[in-house]
Formats: sequence, C-alpha cells, structure tokens
Amino acid sequence: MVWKRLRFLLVLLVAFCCGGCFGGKERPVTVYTYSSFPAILSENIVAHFREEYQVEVEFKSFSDTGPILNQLAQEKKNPQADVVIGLDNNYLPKALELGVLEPYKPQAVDRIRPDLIFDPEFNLIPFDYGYVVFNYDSERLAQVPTSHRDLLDPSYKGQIIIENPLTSSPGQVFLLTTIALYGEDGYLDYWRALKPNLLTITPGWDEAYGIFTSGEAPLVVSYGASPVYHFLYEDSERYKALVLDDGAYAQIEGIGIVKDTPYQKNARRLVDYVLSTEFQALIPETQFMYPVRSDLELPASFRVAARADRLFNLPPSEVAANLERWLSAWEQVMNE
Amino acid sequence: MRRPGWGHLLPACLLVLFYLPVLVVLGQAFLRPNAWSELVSFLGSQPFRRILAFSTTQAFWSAFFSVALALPGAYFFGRYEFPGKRLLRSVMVLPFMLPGILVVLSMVVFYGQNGVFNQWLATLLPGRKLAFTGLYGFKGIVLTHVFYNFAFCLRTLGERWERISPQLEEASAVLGASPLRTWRGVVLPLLAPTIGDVGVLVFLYSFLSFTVVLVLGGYLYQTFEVLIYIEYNTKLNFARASMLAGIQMALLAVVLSLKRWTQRLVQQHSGEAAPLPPLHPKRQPVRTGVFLVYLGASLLFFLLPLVFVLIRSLKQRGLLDGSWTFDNYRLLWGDSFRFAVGSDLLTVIGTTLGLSITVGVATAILAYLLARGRRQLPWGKLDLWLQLPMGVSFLTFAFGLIRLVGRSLHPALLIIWAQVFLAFPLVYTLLRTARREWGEELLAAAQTLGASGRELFWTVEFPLMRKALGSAIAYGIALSLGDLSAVLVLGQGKVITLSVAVYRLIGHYHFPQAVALGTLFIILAVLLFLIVERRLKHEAEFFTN
Repeated sequence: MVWKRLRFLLVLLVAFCCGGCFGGKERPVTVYTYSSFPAILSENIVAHFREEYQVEVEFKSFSDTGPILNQLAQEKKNPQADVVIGLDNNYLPKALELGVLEPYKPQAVDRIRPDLIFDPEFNLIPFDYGYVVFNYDSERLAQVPTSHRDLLDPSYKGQIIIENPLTSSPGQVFLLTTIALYGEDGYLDYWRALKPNLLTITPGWDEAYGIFTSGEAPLVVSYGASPVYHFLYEDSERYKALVLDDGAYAQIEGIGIVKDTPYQKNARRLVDYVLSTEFQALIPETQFMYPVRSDLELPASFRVAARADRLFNLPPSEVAANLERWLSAWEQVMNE
Repeated sequence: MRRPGWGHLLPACLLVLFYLPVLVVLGQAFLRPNAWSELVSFLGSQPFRRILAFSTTQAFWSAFFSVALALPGAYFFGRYEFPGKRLLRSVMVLPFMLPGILVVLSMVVFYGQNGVFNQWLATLLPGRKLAFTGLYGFKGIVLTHVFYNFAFCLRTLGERWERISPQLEEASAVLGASPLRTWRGVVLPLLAPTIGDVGVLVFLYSFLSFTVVLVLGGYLYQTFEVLIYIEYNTKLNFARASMLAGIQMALLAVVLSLKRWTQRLVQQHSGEAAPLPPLHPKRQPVRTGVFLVYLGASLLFFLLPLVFVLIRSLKQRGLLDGSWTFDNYRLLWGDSFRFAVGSDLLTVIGTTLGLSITVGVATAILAYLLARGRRQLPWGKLDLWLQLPMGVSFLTFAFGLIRLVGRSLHPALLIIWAQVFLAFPLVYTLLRTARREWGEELLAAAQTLGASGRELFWTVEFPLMRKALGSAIAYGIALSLGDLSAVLVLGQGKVITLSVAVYRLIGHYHFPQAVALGTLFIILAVLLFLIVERRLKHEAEFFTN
C-alpha cells in the first residue's frame, strides 16, 4: 500500500523533472550577479526595461563572484546569460583568460572618471567603486593611527579584525594594499609585524563587521562608505572611515556583456542604462559605493565617507601574474 | 506478500540521486592527466598533515566534551518526568538550524573579549583579573562546536535511556549490586552504542566545520572544507577542489565504518518507553538539587548566548547598552527589508516553512520506508553507503549537482534534492536504530489476531515509533532551516529563505534587523517543533482509539 503511493509520487517526480528540462521557452534577457546585489537596483532595471522597451529582464544571483565566472566558463558554447554585473577589477584577468566577455564601449564613456577605467578594451566597464579602508569605533579607539606603519604599534595588540584574502574580496584588496605600499620585498615583513595585533581573520566581510560592531575590537577592514549607513539610518557618527597614508586601494566593480549573447542590442542598452545619470544616482545610498560618473554630485550623507587623494591600485595584469604566489607566500607567513 | 522488485528500487533510487553528483565531482578530480601524482604529492605535503592533525584533534575534543557533558542530563531526561521537559526538548534542536553567522556572533557577544561573560567575571571578582580570552583560537572552536552539538547529544541519549527498561536496574539492585556497578554492568553496555553513534556524528560535523573554524580560527586553523572553498571560490580550480573533496570523503568513510561496528552492538534489551516517574523535590531532594544545578549550568552555557541575541534584537541599534525598542522588528515590515532581501517578510517565512516541512517530512518518509524494509538485517554495507553523504562536503555535492543537471531543474527542486541529501544520514540513523530496537513479536501477534496492514501500522507500529518519527522530522526541518549554502549555490537568488534573509540583511548593514529576524526565526522554529510533536501524538491517539 505504501509502495503504491510511492510509485505514484515517483512518476509525478519524473514528470516534473522532464517538464523542467524540456518545457523551455525563449528566455528573457538574463543578468548574472552576486547574491548581495541590492534588490532595489535589480528591480529598477527590470521595471525600466519593461516600461521603455517591453523587454523582460531576469536576474540570477550566485553565492559569490567566483562561481559566476565558473558558470560563464561552463556555458561558453551556449550562453545562458547576456550581461554580468559585479566582477571587480581583480577578476578581469581571469575573465579575459576564460574569454567569456565581449568588449563594448559605452555611450557615456567620456563621463567616467578616467583613472577608474581599469580595462582599456572595455570587456569590463566600471559602474561603481569603493575604497577598501579601515573603519574605527571612535568610542573605543584611544589613539587614531595615520599610517599603515602606525598599526604595528604594540598598543594595538588584539585590536584589529581583517578578512581572509583567500576567501574575501576586501581581504584580498587589503593584502594588495600592503603590496602596493611596501613592495614584493617588504609586504611579508609588514604582515609578520602586524600578526600579533590581529584579533581574528574572518572568511567574509559580514563576520568581520558583525564582530566589529559588537564591540570586540575597534579597527576593521571595511569600505570607505560604511559610515554612511550608520549616519543615514542610525543617525550616528560613532563609526568612522580611516584613510591611512593619504590614499586607498579602490575596488572597482564592473559590468560586462557575455560573449556570443543572442541579445546583443538589449545587453548594450542595459550597460548604457546602468551608466546613465538616473541609475548612477541611485548607487551611493543603496550600494554604499561611489558612482563612476564624474558629472554627478554625491549626496550629503557622503560627508562621512572616506575621501582618498591617491589610488594605490596595482595594474590588473601585474596582479593577475602574481596573485597566486603572493597569496601562498602570505599563507606561509601567517602559519609560521 | 513482499515484492522484492520494489523493495530494491527505493535504495537504488536514493543511491543514484545521492551519488551521481558525487561521481561527477570525483570524475572531475581523477579523470585527468597528473591527477594521481598531484594526489600523492599533496598527501605527502606539510599542509595536509597540519590540516589533518588539527581537524582530527578539534573534532575529537568536540565530540568528547559534547557527549561527556550531555550524559548526566540524559539520565534525568531518560528517567524522570518534570515540568517543561517537552519545551526543553524542542529548544534543543535549535542550534542546528541557526545560520552559522548568528551562532558565531552570539558566541562573540557572550564569550568574546568584551563579552557578557567577561563583564560578569569582572563584576563578581573585581580584584582578580580573571577573563576568558580563548574564544579566538582552538579553545573557542571546540567551545562553539560543543555549543552546537551538546543539546543534540543530550536529546538523543535521553531518548535512548528512556527505552532501557528500569526493571533491569531494579533487578540488579535487588541482586545486591551497588549503583555504580549497576551503571557499569547494566546501563552503560546498553547505552554505549548510542554514545558511539552520537560521538561519531559530532566528530563528523566538527570535522566538516566551516564558518566556525574560519571566523574563530583565523589563519592558524583550517579544515579541508575551508581548503575546498578556497580552491573553488578564489582560485577557480574545480579539479583541485574535487580532489580535496575526494580525500575528505575517503577519510570520513573510514570514520563512518567505525559506526558500522557500534551499530552492530545495538542490543535488543529494550522495549517501549515505560511511563516515567516525576522528579519529586521532597522525596528526592539530592537528585532534584543535582538536576537543577546541572540544568542551570547547561542553560547558562547553551541558552544564554541565544538569550542575548533576543536582548540585542530589542535594543536600539542592536547594542547591548542601547535603550529598549521594537524598532528592529517594525523595520522588518518596511521597504528597507524588501530592498535588502528582495522579497517581503511573509513570502520569506512562507518559502522557508514550505521548504523545510517538505524536506523534513520527505526525508523522514524515505528514511522510514528504508529502515522498515531493513529492520531484520544487521547494520550493513548499504547502511554505510546511505550514511556516507554525511562525510561528503556539502559544498562539493552542490557543485556536483550543478555540473550534473545544470540549471535546467527548477531551483526549488534542486534545493530540496540537496537538503534531503544533507538531512538523510542523520534522520536515517535515528529511525534505523529506533526501528530495530523493538522486536517483531508485537507485529506478528497483531497479525495473527487478524489486523490488516493499515491497522497494523497505525495501531501498533506508529505509536511505537511516534517519538522517533517526531525527532526525525524535527531534525530534518532543522537542517533544512539552517542550510545556507544549498540555497545560495542552487537557488539562483529566486528562493529566499530566512537564513538567506539574515545573511542579506547583514550584508546590507541592517545588523539589528538581522538579529530581530534571527529571533523570529528561533521562535518560529520552536513552535514548529512543538507542533510536529503534538501532531504526531494526536495522530497516534486518534488511531489507537
């Protein structure tokens, strides 16, 4: 008796699966992005395309940036996506190596701040950026450092939380910052000296920032615009961004068109829309990142965000050629 | 009567569903040039030895302390009735379903450098500079794993103890054995297989630990799961990630075959749970006292970190020194929630409940059918194969699934597939052990009295299995509720559950709301577990009358 029911269920299940495999219809314009891309921004794009062009856009999100690239590489012969949002400057070389993107020079190219264009061929087009800098808790930090060297002072023992460069993109950018500052010969010594001052190294930004706001340590690697959130929604300026050595390393997020997409025209429209003043103006207070257009004024809340005079960024090709080696050398030093 | 064709079909289907994605992963790892030489050089390398040594030691101590601390409690849960027992049993499933990040953060709030525990120490013993500073490191990792698993051990051991007939102990006492001797000679041998069982389970869970080890261990400590994640996610080296997953599987298969040995030792000396005597404060003052102290201490250890999650959710900006407020809950209904999460609260709760109940019930039914079909067989190879999913890195399984079926199936189906895989081994062990523990005599007797198949099930089998089925469904639900990776990796952002919502809220700085949602999550889950147990009880009564 039980088996009879189960048999019925099995048949149902098989039918359901087949339906899923073969019942395909023409797919909508598809965008791949990472899971934390704000819903308010994706909904805005969907609504815009529906109204303006009567075109359906669908967003599919991935747990992280790495898996997006993996997926694109797998589907290379038969692309299932048309646009990809969120691959940052450090992923450019990998994306080029896999050959999954198609260059497109956007209409608004003259409006983009020139030093942000990290790919002169426009396989990846910058659409927002942020500084990866330290944030500090002004109620708990007695002495505010001004340079990265200051952080080595023994008085900061157990006071610093960072993200693991092997698992987290701000963590990786912080490692690159130290390489940009102290060079290949010096960065490992810097880390040896920094080690005792670290409370812990977390897998992602979420854990690090959560432990930081729980009051466990007064310094954390985060984004330059993190304080804007606390200012806007909590009316608090307790957490502040810290620009050390008068500069910062920028994480520049890109948008790109998937190679061999059947929806070439709509994909280009989408890129141009993301770079339009209308859309760019939404970015600061939803993504807590800076828009890339130089003709836009920042909202007043960005008064509390970090301002960096100088970008520390290394050339993407140099990063691509050396990153793996830098990471394993770092790992070795940390395990000493 | 029995149709062998169908009897083999179910295990065969399950094996295919479980192992096809795994085979895909293994194929990726080993069907390429240089795979074997790479394997050999990795096995000889220093990182391998370091990771193996760390994983094994921390998992061993986690299992040891979880079981050792749970045993005294299991005695009281298995031997006495007391008010609040049902609620406590439900609360005990909680840590399994909390998103890893909330567990870690509640540990940080309670046991951290500036945590509540240290503040209490400072207030209670002002002169002495006593402080617990070990959270970020080996001790913290073991502490958190014990926090995760202790309640599970207590619940499972307590349920087993209930079914050890008290008459055995009484007989031993009548024959003049001291209580210690009775415990060593009568109770321990009956309890030992279950101790071994839960011990192995905790060992496995700790061995596969990911978030806890990464957050508290920093760079110093790594498990294989961490390494697999780095290869897949950062280095985009699927082949090497698969190879590591294969090594991990082989290691854990060895550990799991130990279970086969403990399972064979399960003895038949147990019947239905006898009605338990209430714990009488007047008649047994010492015992009651000991129990209260134990209960107090374990609640302090286990419940307080969660209580502080609740307190933070009621504080301005989620800070312990802030003023009291309902703002964080109010904001869950607003636009900011929808904008950060991508769905509104009711849809999220609906999706979560639908998904977890489907997974819980489906897993329990499948596992029960299988356990029933194999009730007269000793613990064998097939059982080992059905257990092995526990040793497969879940991340690997999800990636294998994507490689296998791509994204052609509906994301919800993929998630159910993966979560049944995740929950099956635990649910199956519970039901297999429970189903084997009572003999066939009762069923045979009812059958000679002319009961039909259906009557037999509802009047004899179901009432006997009620508690085990309740536990099985509750754990299935809990594992589904707590799962984040399957939903993130397979859900394409379309399926948004409570744990995903918590994760996204934190990702958008809405930390206080995340804590509030976590609290709602806890309350919802306790209600759900209470309903599952009551529902099954009701059903049993309905059909017996």
